[in-house]
Amino acid sequence: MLEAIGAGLAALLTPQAILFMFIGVVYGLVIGILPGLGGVVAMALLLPFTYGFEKAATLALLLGAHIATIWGDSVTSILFSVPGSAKGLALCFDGYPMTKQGQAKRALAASATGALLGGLIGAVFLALCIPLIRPVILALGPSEYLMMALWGLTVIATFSEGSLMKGLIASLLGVLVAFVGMDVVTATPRFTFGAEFLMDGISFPVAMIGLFAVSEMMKLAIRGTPIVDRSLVTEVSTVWQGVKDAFQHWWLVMRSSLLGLWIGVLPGVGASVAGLAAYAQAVQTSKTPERFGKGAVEGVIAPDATMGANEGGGLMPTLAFGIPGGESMAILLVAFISLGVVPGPEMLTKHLDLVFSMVWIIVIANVAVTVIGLGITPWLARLPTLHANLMVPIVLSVCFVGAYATRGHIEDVLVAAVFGVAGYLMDKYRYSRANFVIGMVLAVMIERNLHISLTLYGRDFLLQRPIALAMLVFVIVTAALPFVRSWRRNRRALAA
Amino acid sequence: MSRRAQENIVAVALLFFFGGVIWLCQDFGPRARMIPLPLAIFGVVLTVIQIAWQNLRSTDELHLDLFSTAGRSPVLDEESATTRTRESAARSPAWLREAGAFGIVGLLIALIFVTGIIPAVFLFTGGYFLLTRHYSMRASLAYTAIFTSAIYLLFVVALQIQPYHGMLAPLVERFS
Repeated sequence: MLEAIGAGLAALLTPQAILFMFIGVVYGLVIGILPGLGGVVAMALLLPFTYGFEKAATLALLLGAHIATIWGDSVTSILFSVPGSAKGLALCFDGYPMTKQGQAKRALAASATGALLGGLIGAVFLALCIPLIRPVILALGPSEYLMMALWGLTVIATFSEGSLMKGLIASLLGVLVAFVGMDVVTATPRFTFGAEFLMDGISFPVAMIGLFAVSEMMKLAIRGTPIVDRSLVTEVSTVWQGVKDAFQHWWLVMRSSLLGLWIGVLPGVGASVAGLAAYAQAVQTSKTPERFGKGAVEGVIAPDATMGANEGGGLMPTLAFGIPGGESMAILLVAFISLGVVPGPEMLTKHLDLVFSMVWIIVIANVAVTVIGLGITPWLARLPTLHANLMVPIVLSVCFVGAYATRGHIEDVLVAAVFGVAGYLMDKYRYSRANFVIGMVLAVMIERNLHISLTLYGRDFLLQRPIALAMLVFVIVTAALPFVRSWRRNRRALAA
Repeated sequence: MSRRAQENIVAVALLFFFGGVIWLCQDFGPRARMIPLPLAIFGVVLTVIQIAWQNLRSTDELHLDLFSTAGRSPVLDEESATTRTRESAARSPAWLREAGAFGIVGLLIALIFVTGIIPAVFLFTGGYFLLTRHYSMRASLAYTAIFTSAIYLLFVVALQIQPYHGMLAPLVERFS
């Protein structure tokens, strides 16, 4: 095994591999920053250029680009509340408030360091767990996935901004909007009104561009001042502070990384769910959950650590069984085939050096992204101080071009605008946009797994799946926890 | 229009949305409507309670609801009420600015559909810079040209995304 570890690293020390890694990382950062485009697009666009090169160099290019998009996504979420792609969403909740409070440098640095630590933990666990993970994956079925999705919904109370009723209504809206399009279980077109482009459903990145980016630009146009007005708010944080934050919250980083690894291992769950789940566990395990959503640094560290580790987790089923952990891993699978590598048990015997090359790529790419990220953070932190008259036309234009680029449908531009107006009104009347998105992300997962569970095990599927039942108990306990804490706090306050 | 009236309009619109979903669900099979239908009914119930609640409370408490009254500190309420008053005083013609923001989005969408994506970006950005007079005319045009070129190079040349050419494209082709 030590020999394979060494051979894996040696394969990456060729000039071609180093160059490809560098190109991949820089390219990934740029793509990550663009709204609507994420790791999947980055890898898909690179794929045609990878034929005929060294195996390790090709993988360095693809994986390097994919890993760099994670932090690229986070940058715009933190600075402008514009998620680069679906997985950057959770960073908007606390990263953007930090920027508005003059803590952009700290937020960006904490995000980069969190992603680095998560990536490293993910890579180490990937190396250690590949032989052990098979029985665990096989023990879980649709009922357990359903419970995981329900657990994600428990975060709704956190984002309800003082109005749980409106928060619940917003999440219901999100769930129902997610059902637009062809129902995959019954093949019934739902809420499409005969429009062909709605058959594919509402694109999640497009909806997010509208809800967050377009509506924020509308608010900025109304206010007519920069996101951060330096005459009112000075930059009070440093890059070093953010780096220290990530290390100080090492237990949160560890928990979030393991969660990311776990979600990565589960096929079809996805990094957007991982980010939200990480945020949920950060809130639920915090002693001061009321700080979240108002600029808590833990709300930045947790999602980034999770998404960093998620890549390592996603590689596990891809390498061990040839089952892609997500869309980006499916593209990697195509690259494997073009390289003449067949994923499966043979990867752990014949191609172990290649497996360790990938572990090393995750490590090196994460380090490279963090070094570049921390280096450019002081310049990036100045962007929110640009005047609204410059920001609004530029960001709005990029948002709508990004919405179009997501699927190449011009109707998506209209969808982004509709969601933009809806997002503005939701924000004004305190119907939580975050809850809407959480509902939208989890709706399809909940419906699909409920249908499959009912088909496989009948109406009493919970009784037949003890793991799912235990998970349901966990969901109920974690959902009740914020209310119990709030009740205790109020009782203590009244007693005092 | 009072805040209460605005909140009521939003809530009634939501009621129509949930009602519409219930109505549309009647056309689906039992499995296809298994999740959306109960959720929409739940939505109607919640919205009706919200409407009743927001009309029974004083205007200052409109952002609160049945669940939140138990867990909210009165100090926070006072702070947010004061902030709201200060904000609304500072932005007196708020409806005009809001209409402007909606107009900006509408204009950009219209430009994209009529002229296509890249020309729309040029016209919108340049127009915005010129109308706001934040920069001189020369600087506005220079920034617009640089930005539009960057968008073109990034999306069309580097990422090879086929741009939408707009409704005018067939006309332009016919006369060219």
